Amino acid sequence: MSYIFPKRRLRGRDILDPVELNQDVVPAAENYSGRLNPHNFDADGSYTRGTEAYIIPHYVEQEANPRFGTPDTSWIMPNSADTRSFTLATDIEWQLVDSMTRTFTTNQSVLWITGWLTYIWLEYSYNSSTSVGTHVGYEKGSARVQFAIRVDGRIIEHTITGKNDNFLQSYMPIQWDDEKVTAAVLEDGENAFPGPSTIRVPPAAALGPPAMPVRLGCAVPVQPGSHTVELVCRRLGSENYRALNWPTSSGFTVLDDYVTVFNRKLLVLDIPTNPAVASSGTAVDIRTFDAEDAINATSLGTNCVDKLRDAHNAIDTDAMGRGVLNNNHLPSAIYDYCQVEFAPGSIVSTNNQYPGFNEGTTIASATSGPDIGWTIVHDGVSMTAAANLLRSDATHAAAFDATTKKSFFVVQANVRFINLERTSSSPQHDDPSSFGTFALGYQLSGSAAPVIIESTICFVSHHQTLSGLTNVAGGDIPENIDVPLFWCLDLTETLLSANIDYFGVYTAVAGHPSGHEAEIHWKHGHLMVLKLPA
Amino acid sequence: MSDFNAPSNYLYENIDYFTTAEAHNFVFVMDHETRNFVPPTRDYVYRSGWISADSNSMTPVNIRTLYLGMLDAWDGTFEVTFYRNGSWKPIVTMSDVLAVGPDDGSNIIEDIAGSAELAEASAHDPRLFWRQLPVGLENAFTWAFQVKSTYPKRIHLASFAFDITVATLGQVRGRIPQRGDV
Repeated sequence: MSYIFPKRRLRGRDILDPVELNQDVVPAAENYSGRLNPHNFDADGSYTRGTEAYIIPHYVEQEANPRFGTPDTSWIMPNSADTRSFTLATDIEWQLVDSMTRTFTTNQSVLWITGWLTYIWLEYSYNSSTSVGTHVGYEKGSARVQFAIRVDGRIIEHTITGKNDNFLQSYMPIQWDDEKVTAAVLEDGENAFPGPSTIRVPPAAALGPPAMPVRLGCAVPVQPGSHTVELVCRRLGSENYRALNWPTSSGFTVLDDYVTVFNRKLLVLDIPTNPAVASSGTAVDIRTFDAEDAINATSLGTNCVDKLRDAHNAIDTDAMGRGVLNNNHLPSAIYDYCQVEFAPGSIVSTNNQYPGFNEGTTIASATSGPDIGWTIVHDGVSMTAAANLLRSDATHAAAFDATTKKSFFVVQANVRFINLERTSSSPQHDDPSSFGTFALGYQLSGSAAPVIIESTICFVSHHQTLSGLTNVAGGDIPENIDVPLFWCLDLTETLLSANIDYFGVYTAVAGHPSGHEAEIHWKHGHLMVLKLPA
Repeated sequence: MSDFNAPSNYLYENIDYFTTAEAHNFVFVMDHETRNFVPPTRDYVYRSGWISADSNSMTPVNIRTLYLGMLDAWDGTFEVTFYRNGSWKPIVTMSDVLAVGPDDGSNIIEDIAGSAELAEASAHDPRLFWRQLPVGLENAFTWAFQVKSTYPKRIHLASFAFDITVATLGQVRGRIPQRGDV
C-alpha cells in the first residue's frame, strides 16, 4: 500500500482557503474508513498473535505393520495381514490411499500439503533350502506405482511421482529375448505366447523399487469454501502384472501382484493469505470548511482535528485495511526451528537388527554386532556425541518446548540410503529379501532413552539390478535412494508432560528368515524441525 | 554508511550533512520510514512563449505594462523577468510582486494562517485579482516573460494581459534593421 502524502503543509503565509484546509484533513478521515495501512503502525512486532492467525493444521496418520516379526522369534517376509494396511487396486485409476483424506473449510488461503507413506510390493519369496530370497515380481519389471496429491478432485499434476506420461518407457538396446517362456506357461507345459519377443522394459513413468518411502508435497492456492485434500495412488502397466505367473512343482500359479501401503500420513497447513473480514465499517465524521466559515476552536479543533486525533488514538478494528499488517508488524510465524546438515566423511553402516514394529524403546547401544535395536544415524566417528549424529541437538542444543504453548511440530528428514547387502553368506550381495528400516525418534527431557515413532517407520530393500531381467538383486550395485521421513506432532489440544530434548533419525536392518545378517549403508542426511503456533 | 556512494566533497561522515539541503535530494530506502524528511528546495516557473505583434514578427512594439491575473494563494512576493527579441538574457527582473491582492476589506490577507486570530478569523475563497507590472521594453519584435516562485511560496496564475504600442519611424516597418546594421 502506498503512502498518503498530504497535498501541502500549512504554513504561516498560506491564505485560509476552505478547499485547501479541507484537503489538509479529509485524507486522514477517509483513511480511517477501513484504509489504515502498515505505514500507520509501528513496526515493533509487539502485536498479539491471534489463535490460528497464521496456520491451521489438518493432519491424519495411519499406522500399519508389515509384520516382519522380531529377531527373538524369526523373521518372516512382509505381508498385508495388518488390516490397517492398504493394498492398491491393480489398475491405472487414481484411488484414495485409505483414510488419507481431509475435508475442511478455508478462507482465501494457500494449502501447504505434505503426504508421506511407505509401500512394499509383496512378492517376496524365500527358499529355505538354498537360503536365497527372491522378489518374484521384480523380474517382470518395476513396482509401477504412482502417488499424487488431489485437491477437490483435481490431481495436482506436478506432485505425481515419476512421470505423468503413463506410457513412457525406458530405453533399452534392440535385441531379441527367448520365446515367451517366462511370460506364461500353460498347464500342458506349452508356452502361452509362442514366438520371439522383445525384452520387457519396465516403465519409467512410475516408482520402481519394491519397497520405498515416498514424501510428496505442494502449495495450492484455494478460494474460500470447503476443500478436500487427498493422498492418492495408482499402478501403471496393465500388461505386465496380469502376466505374472510363477511355475511351481504342481504347475503354475498366478500370484497375487499387489503393492501395499503401510505407514502413511497427510498434513495440510491452511495458510490464510487474506483474513476473512466481517466488518460493519467505521468512520470519523469531521466538519469540513466552507467559504467564510469561522476559524475557531470548535471548527478547527473539536469538530475536526480533535476528532481525527481521538479516532487514530483508539483505532477501531474496522478502520484497518484487509490483511494490511505484514511480517514487520506481526510476531514470528514460527516458535522454534532447527536444521541439521549431516555429511559423514565416508559411507557408514550397521547390521543392528530391527527390534519389531512395536519395540520403539529398544535402542542399540553399539554401532554393530549385531545388536538388537534402533541405531541412531551417525557419522561412523561417534554414536553418542550430538555433533556426530543426524539429530536436532547437533545444532539446537536447547530442548524444544512442548509443555507451555499450544503448537505443532513438523519434522522432516532425508537420508541417503546407499545399499543393503548380506554379510554372512555367499552370494554376499544378491539377496533382495533383506530390508533396511528408517524411522524418526525423539527423547523427552528427563527420559533415559529416546522413543521411536512407530508411524514413521519405513522400509527399503536391496533391489538394484543390472537389467531388470533377473529376479535377484544384482551384485553390489548401490541403490542410492533418498529416504524421506516425516512426522507431525500435534500439540494443539494437549501438551506433553516434558519438553523434547531432540528429534533424530534411526535405522536398523530387518534380517532374513534363516538369520542371515544384513548390513545397511548410508551417507548424507538432513533434518528439519519447525515448531509452529496453533 | 560505508555503502553510501557520495561524492568526495560531501561531508557524509558528518551527520550534520544530512540536515543540509543537498542531502534531502537523496532517498534512502530501508525497511522503515523516516519522519525527518524535508522537501528539497524547488522553484515553480511559468515561462511564456515568444509574443509578437504580427504573425511574422515584423512589427516593432514598445511593451508598456503586463497585467497578471491571479487567485490568492500565498502572502508573499515572487519574481518576474522579461526578455526581448528571442534572447533568454534577462532584460528586466523584478522580485517584489505580491502573490495576493489587496485586502480590500475581504480579510483574506488579514486572516492568513500565520496571523489569523482564533475565533475571529474565517476561511475565504480565493478571488481573482490583477497586478500590473511596468515592463519598459522598447522596439521589440518579440518578447517574453517568466514568473518564478521558490518553495514554499505558491502562486496561482489565472491569466495575463498587456499594453503595447507600435514603435514606428513614420512607418510600421521603419525600424526593421538595414542590410548593414550591426
